[in-house]
Amino acid sequence: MSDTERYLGVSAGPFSLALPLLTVRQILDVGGASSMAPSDPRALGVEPISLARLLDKPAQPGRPGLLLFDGHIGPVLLSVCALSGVFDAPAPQPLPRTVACRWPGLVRGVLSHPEGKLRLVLDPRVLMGLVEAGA
Amino acid sequence: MSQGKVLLFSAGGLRLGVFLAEVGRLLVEDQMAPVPFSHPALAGVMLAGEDGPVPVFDMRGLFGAAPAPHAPGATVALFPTAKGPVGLRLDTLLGTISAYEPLSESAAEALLDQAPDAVRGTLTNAARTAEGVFSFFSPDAFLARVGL
Repeated sequence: MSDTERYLGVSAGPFSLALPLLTVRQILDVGGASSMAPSDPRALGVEPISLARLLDKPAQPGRPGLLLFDGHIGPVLLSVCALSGVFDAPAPQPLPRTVACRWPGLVRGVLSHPEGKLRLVLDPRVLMGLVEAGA
Repeated sequence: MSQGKVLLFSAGGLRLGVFLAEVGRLLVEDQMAPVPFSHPALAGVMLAGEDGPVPVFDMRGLFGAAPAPHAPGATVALFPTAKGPVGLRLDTLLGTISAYEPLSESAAEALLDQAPDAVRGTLTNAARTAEGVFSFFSPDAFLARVGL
């Protein structure tokens, strides 16, 4: 049994994040200069939800990456400010009790990967709950 | 003159002092991970060696200003608490002093009255050194102010 998990590194507004890769159904677009997605969200059939705005912060300018998730009640398309690759990392260090988040369980912990980059690992189930609460 | 080593610093634009005995250690801010849906004064979490992730607060967040998500090179004072270490981002580390002159009650009150309402409860007294006056910062009162 492996003691590491595979993550997708993303940024959303001011947040450096990691999402467990197995919970990302599909990377629809990598965003940035390599973006192939149409700039008009109507062409995607469904307007993506900005992960930065979902987390209550403004998104960074530029062409976003697009990620498809299986939500609790259907597919969810999230846009992120940038994708920073796939990496393997050990279990995150949990946040201390002195850090309170209004969405308990949203942040699984902190990783220092890859190359020492500090990231918060989000719990996709709680994230999908947040999407539905905001819908 | 009073005795007792005091760490002098500025935070949130205020000139402050705290007894060294109340400070766990000082760190240099390297990387910070902002936390969504957290207290407005929380700049984020940083890794503090064997202490693991620790929260770092920025007093400016108490005034309604968003703390800078990153301030590489800033000094962070780590205060031990019953729930674990908690960091405070300092604007400037001014040094340590071992002697100071307490202000009279009325002068201290007048100085504390000039502090923004949001931080007034975290300041307990005031004193003077040759370089100027400062207010005593209470880590316990600050932690209570941010709900810890």
